Amino acid sequence: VYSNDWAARLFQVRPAAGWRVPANVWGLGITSLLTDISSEMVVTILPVYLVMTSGFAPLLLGVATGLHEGGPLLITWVGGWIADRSGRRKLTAGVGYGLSALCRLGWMIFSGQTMGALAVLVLGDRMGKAVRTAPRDAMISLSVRSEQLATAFGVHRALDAAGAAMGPVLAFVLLWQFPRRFDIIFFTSLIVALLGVAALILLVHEVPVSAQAPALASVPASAHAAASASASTPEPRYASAFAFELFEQPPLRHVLMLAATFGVVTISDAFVYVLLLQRSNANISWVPLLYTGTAITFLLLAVPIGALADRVGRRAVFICGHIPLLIAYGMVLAGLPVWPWNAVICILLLGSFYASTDGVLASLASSLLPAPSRAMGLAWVDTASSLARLCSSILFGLLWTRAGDVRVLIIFTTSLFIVFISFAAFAREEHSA
Amino acid sequence: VTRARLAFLAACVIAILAIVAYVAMTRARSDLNAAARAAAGPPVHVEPIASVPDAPFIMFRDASPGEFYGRVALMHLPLGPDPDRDTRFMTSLECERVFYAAGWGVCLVLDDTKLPASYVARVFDRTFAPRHTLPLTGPPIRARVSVDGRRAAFTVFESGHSYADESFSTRTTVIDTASGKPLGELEQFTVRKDGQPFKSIDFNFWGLTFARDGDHFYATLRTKGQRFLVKGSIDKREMEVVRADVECPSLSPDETRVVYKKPVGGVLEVGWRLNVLDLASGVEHPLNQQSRSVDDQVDWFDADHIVYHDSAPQGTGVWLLSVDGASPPRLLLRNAYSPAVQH
Repeated sequence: VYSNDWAARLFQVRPAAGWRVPANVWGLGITSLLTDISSEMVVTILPVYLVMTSGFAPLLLGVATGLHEGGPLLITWVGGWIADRSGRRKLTAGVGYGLSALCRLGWMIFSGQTMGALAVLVLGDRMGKAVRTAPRDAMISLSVRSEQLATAFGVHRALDAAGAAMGPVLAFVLLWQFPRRFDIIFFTSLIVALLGVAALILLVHEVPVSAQAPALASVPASAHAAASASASTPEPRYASAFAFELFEQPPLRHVLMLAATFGVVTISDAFVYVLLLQRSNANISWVPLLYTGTAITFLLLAVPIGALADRVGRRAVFICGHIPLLIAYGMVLAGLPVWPWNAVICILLLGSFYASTDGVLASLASSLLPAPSRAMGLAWVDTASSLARLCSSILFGLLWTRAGDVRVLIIFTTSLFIVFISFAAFAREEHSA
Repeated sequence: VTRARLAFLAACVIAILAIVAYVAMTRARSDLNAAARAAAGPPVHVEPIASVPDAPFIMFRDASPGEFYGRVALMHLPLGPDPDRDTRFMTSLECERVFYAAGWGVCLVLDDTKLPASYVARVFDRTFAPRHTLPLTGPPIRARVSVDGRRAAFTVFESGHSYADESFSTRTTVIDTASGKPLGELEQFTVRKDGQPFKSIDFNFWGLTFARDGDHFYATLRTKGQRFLVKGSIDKREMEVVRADVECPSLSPDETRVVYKKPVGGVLEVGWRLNVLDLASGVEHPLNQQSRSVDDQVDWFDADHIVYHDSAPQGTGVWLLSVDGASPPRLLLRNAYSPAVQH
């Protein structure tokens, strides 16, 4: 299928567009890193905190987790819409980051209060996250040349994953040093969240957009600073409010289908880890370490795989990124290597899956979306894939209780394999670069 | 650009200083919670205690904010007219769930002295000295010790089994207190229903309550969304389904009645109502817990009253309720949790 040209591109030492990404991408990455540290700190201690201070029933813990995981999906899409309509992506993202920081303040004030107050805070945090996702990704994509898109998303996702890995560690260290002082955790979390907002304000500048053909935001990084000073370029309006005309482009429809279809056959990490531990008779308290391990693998591989995607094709890398996932499922199913090696391999496989799909999908979508409606389009892709994953989780949970773990694993692994083969067979490489 | 970066660096420094200052300030104020405690009500009189008294007492986990938060405390019975003015005897133990009977206690707690933090069960004696430590596989929810002190049982919540359909999973273990050895898990016992063998992979057990002989017991079995009251024998490692819709049973001292919580509100399980079941006749009637939902395995305070934890608006703590079905509950001990009555 692939020519020598492909191999030549693969083994080229330097990426076509160079390793360096513009300062704006770093700024957004640092913002995400700090915000993730702040949020993961609280999320990690939440179960312990609720059980220890309020004697909460497991069922309520389940509800809290559900609120956190399920989240308000459609808010993502509202964030994208506002960002594109107003053209003020930084401000829209800033509102999202600010809302989450405000919820941290709520934790300080309402700690030890009713379940209702805590649920509102968890929900508020998730809404903030949903609002900022699309404008942030749009800013990343608009800050770089199109041949560097996946590398830039790789840099951002690496920093984001670093935050997700550091948050729980910081929380544990603090709790270890100051036992039962949950207020210190909440305060630190608030300060780090505010620092994230400061990073957005100080290190990120709004990217001016002119009505251009898809993915031609090829303004050099140095030029942005000058351009942003006079960022009053008139923003084009869409024919329809929700940018449905985006769907008229076959390549974008294809990306949406790709995201949704793979999302449905992907098993949530939580299930993979629990199944792995259960089938190895290992202690359930290892779960947080598995998450951290996966985040570390993700952060180490995000940039190299992003650069690879820019060179050999983002779609190919996204589809092939599901190979490690297939191996992981097969491994859990077969129970081949013994504990703890199966956990180590699983961490590496899931980490490389994230590195080759998460940012790569955003870059693939960005390369196909016209600049003025990019946030909206990215929100559509994000909503499609989140919704698909939610369906997958519900489906998996139902099938697990009805059919048992082995059967449900076989069903999902087979489905993933079929989806993988179908998309790989109908190879349609994008040549947007 | 450079100026913005410098400003961000300055913000980082200020942030670190703010965190350090916060820690220093809250530490310098000798007890941040002292003010809150004073505002919450009359100060509780506290005295240390080194061993279990011979007279009747109620043991519980103290949940008053301050330095004793999470400690196991006990109070002499009978309680005074205003129990919040009685002395709380503080033990050296810190537990999340505690139970005690006849010289043996079980303390379920998060051991965060080493990472990763994990839950453990500690078996302690009448001097509160830990005798055995057993690892737990999840957050603890229920604990019981048999009346003769010979055996203990505890239930933990196995987290993460499946949150999508709200079905949670539990594990109930029975141990020999003197040796600290597990005698088995209820999932390993054989179950019969209407005389026939009854078995399913999704069996979950919780809320074991011992009979006086320390061998027979009642517990909750859940399978396919249905809850059953089971009665069994630990020595024979078997049990039989008694009736449906019973959760967290607690056997009365005279072994004629069981108080349990009954799920209400259908699929979403919005709450639980306490009921008392006469074992001989099979007649049950609801207790007057008013509009509250009670989620606890109750303990019998005396022949006609039970105690349980509830965080009602009138006060969080241990509540006392008559089993007559008419009398309303009364807040017995403020800021107390996991009560165990020793006669």
